[in-house]
Amino acid sequence: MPNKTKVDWGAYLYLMPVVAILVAFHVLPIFYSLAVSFYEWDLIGSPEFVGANNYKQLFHDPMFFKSIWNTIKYAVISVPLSILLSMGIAILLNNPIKGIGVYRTIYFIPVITSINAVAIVWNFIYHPDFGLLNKILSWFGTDPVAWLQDPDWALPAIIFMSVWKGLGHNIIIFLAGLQNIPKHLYEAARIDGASRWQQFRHITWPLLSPTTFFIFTMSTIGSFQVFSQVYMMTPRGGPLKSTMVVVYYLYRKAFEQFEFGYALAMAFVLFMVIFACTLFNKLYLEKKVHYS
Amino acid sequence: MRNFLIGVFIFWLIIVGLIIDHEKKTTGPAVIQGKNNTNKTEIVFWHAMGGPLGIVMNRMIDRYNAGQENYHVKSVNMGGYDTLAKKVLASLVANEAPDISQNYETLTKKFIRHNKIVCLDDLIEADIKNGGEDIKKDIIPVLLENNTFAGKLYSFPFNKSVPVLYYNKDMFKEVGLEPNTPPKTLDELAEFSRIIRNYYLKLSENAKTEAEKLRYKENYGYGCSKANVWGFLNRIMQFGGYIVKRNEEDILVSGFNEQPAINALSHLQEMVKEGTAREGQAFDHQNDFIAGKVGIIESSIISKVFMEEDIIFNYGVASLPGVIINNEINNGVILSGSNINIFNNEDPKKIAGAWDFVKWFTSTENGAEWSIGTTYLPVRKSSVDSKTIKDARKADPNLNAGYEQLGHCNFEPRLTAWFEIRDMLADYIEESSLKMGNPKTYCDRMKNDVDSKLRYVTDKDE
Repeated sequence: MPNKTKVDWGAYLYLMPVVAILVAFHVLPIFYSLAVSFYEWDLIGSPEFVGANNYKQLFHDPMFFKSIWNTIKYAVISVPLSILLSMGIAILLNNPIKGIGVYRTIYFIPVITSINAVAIVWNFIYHPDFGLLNKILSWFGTDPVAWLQDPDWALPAIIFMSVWKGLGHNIIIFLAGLQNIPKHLYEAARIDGASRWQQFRHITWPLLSPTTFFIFTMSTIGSFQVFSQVYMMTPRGGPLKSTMVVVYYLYRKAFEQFEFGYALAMAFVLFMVIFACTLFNKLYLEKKVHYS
Repeated sequence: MRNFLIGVFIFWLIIVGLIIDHEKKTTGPAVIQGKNNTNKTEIVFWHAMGGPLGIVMNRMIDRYNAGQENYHVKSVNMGGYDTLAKKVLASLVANEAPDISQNYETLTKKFIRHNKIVCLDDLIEADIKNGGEDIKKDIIPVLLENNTFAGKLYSFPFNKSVPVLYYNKDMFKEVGLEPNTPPKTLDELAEFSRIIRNYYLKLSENAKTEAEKLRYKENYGYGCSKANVWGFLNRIMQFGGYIVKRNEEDILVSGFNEQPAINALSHLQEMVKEGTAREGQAFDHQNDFIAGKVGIIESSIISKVFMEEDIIFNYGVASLPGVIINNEINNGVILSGSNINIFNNEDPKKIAGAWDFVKWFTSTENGAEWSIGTTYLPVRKSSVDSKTIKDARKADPNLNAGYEQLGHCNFEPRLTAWFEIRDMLADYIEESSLKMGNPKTYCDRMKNDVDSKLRYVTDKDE
């Protein structure tokens, strides 16, 4: 006779509050938003069903393509730059130097500071007339640059600030990854006469790859969702719309022009783009990760 | 390290606590004004009046509340106009709308379509039946027209402003211009700006130190904000053009490819190209003016109350210059600012209270007080003619420019797609001053893009 497994319904009862919150505030809004993306809705009146019109219109909207292109530029530059810088700094901070806690704190402070406050400060730093950055550059004889007003510089300026802001978060994760690498591997390498570069290339880099993969995936997702700094630092999407990114365009459509259906259609296209990128990371890049 | 961080945190808490305590003692609650501890009907008023404007408004609301037996107005500052619009929309969805709020005309049209606001004509008719006045007869015609939709008054003009020129009289004197003669035409504006710029460039060339050289080189004749749609539309009016109209086939068309619009765009472009004008971000031009780095700026009349405390030189406020057409100066300005909506909250007491407050606030004397305190245009003709405003104009001639321009005011199209179109215009204006291409090309593209948007506009009352 097979043993009958007794189901403990109590466990489901304990799960109920969390499941209820997830369903109410995560699952239902997602499906509701998906439904609204097939409607024309200005929030006050009743939504009017328009089928796939919002999606069709999206693919004829040059500003949408511009915003996608700007977002891709933002992601392609900011993600590798952030990874390289944070990995380098994490390796430096992994050494037993005096006052290491202070350095780690300094790098982490921007992460816990509100993006709005940071953006206001960086607006001053980038100011063409009395900004700190132009002041420093003037010592080297450089003419002032209108960082946030010049279409060629506005996006790089936003990227630089964003990389600075997110650096501390990545450093902490890299530090955790670095401390998981067994010390004896470095000892063995040193005994074999390996240089610092060889140690990095053959020990640190491969054994840090799960951390790098995690940061790469999360940063890519985050960079496609960039919004606050663009909203705060370059109103209207920057000079000649050079910083118009997808989420900001979506926000303007929804909350300034009150085209909620269209904005939600955009949100779902963005979701598909992020999903495709993450899937590519998972299927292709993860093969190159050394988990042990 | 840990003790140091804890120390810093405690120090920060103490400082913040002391500041909050000080703020409470000196200013009272920052956002919501007027606590209702009585049985009066509460009228919730959402607005975007901050700084010196909010001070004047709250002072008047306090006076209204003190003299009222039936109603109590709760003034709630929502921050900027954008935030206010979003909150009003959200409140309508949640059936928690305020009783009155400031709004732009495009939103008023949305509210009318969805029956969310009260038609003010019905309230005025009821007043007349009860022996009250026909308030519409006293409203300044352009403001009445601006708030009339399909022949009915749905919103009430509240804080309407016009653009003006601010000019530095001391700088005019220094460069050899007559300090009490501001530019009357756009040609004069360009000429005066050139004189100012050349004067300082010459000083810069002859300066002995590098710092002096740089200081003089940073002085410009004229300043305005970048991608300034308001300024562009004003210029179109001055050159005798139009923004949007219905053609013979009753189709909405824009006038951006016509000569007045091309002239409007090229006028500013020429000044920037020549180096006599400087465009700044947001309020940079005002800061430059206050710092004495720009001789003339174009800004709203209400900028006066924000700037005057910081200006340490003699300055004048003048009407916008015009363009000579058929031997006469053609002036034209576009109104800015918002209106009041009374929401249809299905409580007759609240609607009556809201209407009572709107009438009180915009009455002849109170309207005059509001206008003098904030420089906003008064709503009533009787306010303009009142002794209060006449005396104030005599005491401060810099108030005159706002009232002088009342005769040639226009307003922007009130189409629901107008915000989107405005953003398009801003892009083209920005591109024209960044790339300095042919103005006609930008205007043709502008016309093409705007007209393709207008094709889908179904609402009337533009």
